Parts: sequence; C-alpha cells; structure tokens
Amino acid sequence: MNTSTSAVQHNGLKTPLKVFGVLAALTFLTVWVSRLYLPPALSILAAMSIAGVKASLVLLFFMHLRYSPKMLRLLVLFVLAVLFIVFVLLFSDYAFRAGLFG
Amino acid sequence: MNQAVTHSPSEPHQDDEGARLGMWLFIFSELMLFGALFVIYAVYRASYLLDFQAAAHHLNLWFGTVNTLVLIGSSVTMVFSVNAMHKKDTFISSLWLYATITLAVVFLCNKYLEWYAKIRTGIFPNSEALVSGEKGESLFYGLYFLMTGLHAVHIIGGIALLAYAGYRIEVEKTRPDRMAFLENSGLYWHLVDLIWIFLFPLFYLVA
Repeated sequence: MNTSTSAVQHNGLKTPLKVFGVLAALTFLTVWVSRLYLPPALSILAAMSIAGVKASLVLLFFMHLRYSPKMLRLLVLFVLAVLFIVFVLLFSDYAFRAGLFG
Repeated sequence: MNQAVTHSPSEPHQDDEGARLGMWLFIFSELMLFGALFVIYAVYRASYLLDFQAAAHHLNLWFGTVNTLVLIGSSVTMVFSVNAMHKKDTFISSLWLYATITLAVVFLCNKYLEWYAKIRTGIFPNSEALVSGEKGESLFYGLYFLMTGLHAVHIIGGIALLAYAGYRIEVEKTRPDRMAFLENSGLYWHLVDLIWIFLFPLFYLVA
C-alpha cells in the first residue's frame, strides 16, 4: 500500500531531464536577449517574462503542482496574486510620490 | 510492532497531506520575505537606472550563468532522489541526494570566488570605493550582497536539511512509506532554485 497521497507517481527520468533542457535553453536565451541591449524597459520585461516561464516550469514539474490537488494549486495561485497586487500597489504609490512618471 | 522492520504504513499520526501543506505555508512566507526585497530593488532601480546599469556591468556574467545551470541541475537531481524513493529504491535515492548536496557546494564555491573577486577590488557594503562613488552603484551592490547573501544562507540551510534527510534515509526514518520529510526537503530546495531564477536576471543581466 502506498501511503503517500501525493497522488500520481511520476517516476520517470525523462520528464525532469526534458524540463532541465528547457530551463537551460531559457537561461541561454535570457543571456542572449540581455546582450541585444534593448531599451531598459523592454529588456527587463523580456528578462522577467523568461524568468516567469522558468519559475512556472519549476513550480509545475519540480514542485509537483501539476500533479497536486486543485486546492493546493489554487492556494499557490492566490499567494502569487497577492504578491503581484502588493508589488503593483507599493510600486505605483512610490513611483507617483517620487514623480518617476512625471 | 516494529515499524522499521515491517515498514508498516499504519502510523496513527502520519499525515503527509498536512505535512506538505505546512511546507507550502512556509514557502509562502519565504516568497513574502524575498518579495519585499524585490520591491526595494524595483524602486531603487527605477530611481537610479543608469547607476544600476553601470554597476551591473562589473558583475561576472559567467559566474551567474554557470551557477544558474548548477542550481537547476541540483533541482533535477533532487527530483530524481524523490522519484527513486517512490520506486522504493532507497540506495539510489540517497545517491541522488548526495549529488544534490555536491552541486549545492559547487554553487557556494562559485559564490565564494565571485564575492572574493568583488571584495578584493574594494567592492563591498560601505567600502571606500562605493561610498565615494555614485549613490546608485552603492545601492546596487548593497542589494546584491544582501539578496545573494540571503540566498546563500538559504543554500547553506538547504545543505544542512538535505544532509539530515540523508541521515534519516540511513537510519530508515525516511523510507518509501514515510517520505514526507524527503519530499518537503525537495520542495524547499526547489524554492531556493526558484528565487535564484529571479535574482540572476536582476543582477547579472541589467547591464
């Protein structure tokens, strides 16, 4: 009997290796993009987007969210949303006080 | 009833689901901790954009890139370790666990060399060169040492955690029917990887 309720078992070596390949490729991609010397706003947007994709892969495959109960997935999504809202509110407040956006 | 010999799964208080949820709650608190630092970074970057770009230029991209790959690799070996335990292959599981620890040590060695190179050229918090230089560069390096330093502390904590997980496998406290500790150690290790994924572009790729 298997007491581990981590639901489905994913014992293969293949999927983690594939994910590693994609993560490594994305690492090189983000380095390459940074060497294009795009305008700062675009450059940081590209870097953060690639980091976001990499983070999602780690969360979904390595941290097993893909195979986790819906409840846990919603919980993680909720926390990330809270973090995002805090970022936006705090940063916009600061930016307008400091007059960064005119 | 001898648990260790019979490998009976019927521990009255075993609750893997609860253990995992607890680990996730801890991870959320870690996200908030680093999240606050990311906000500080964003605000200062917006205020001192040119200084940040100039300062980032002096960071060694090779160290950052190699360490990113090392850390992603260590995440994969950690996944292998947990998977092997699922397959009831205790020995292979501990081998992958030690591989993960080895990669973590490699990461720290790289970090040491990188910091050493910076500190030797007089770049460290409150150093002569930074205090007399541009304010934004000083802020950039302050955040660089704080955030990569806090991350390195997490790596050191992770090594201790993984070593303890290895010990638990040796004494059969962690085994195929009781692997919550190993799985949660894995979750923590992936979190450390996750944070580095954001630290890397913010410090090494903004030149």
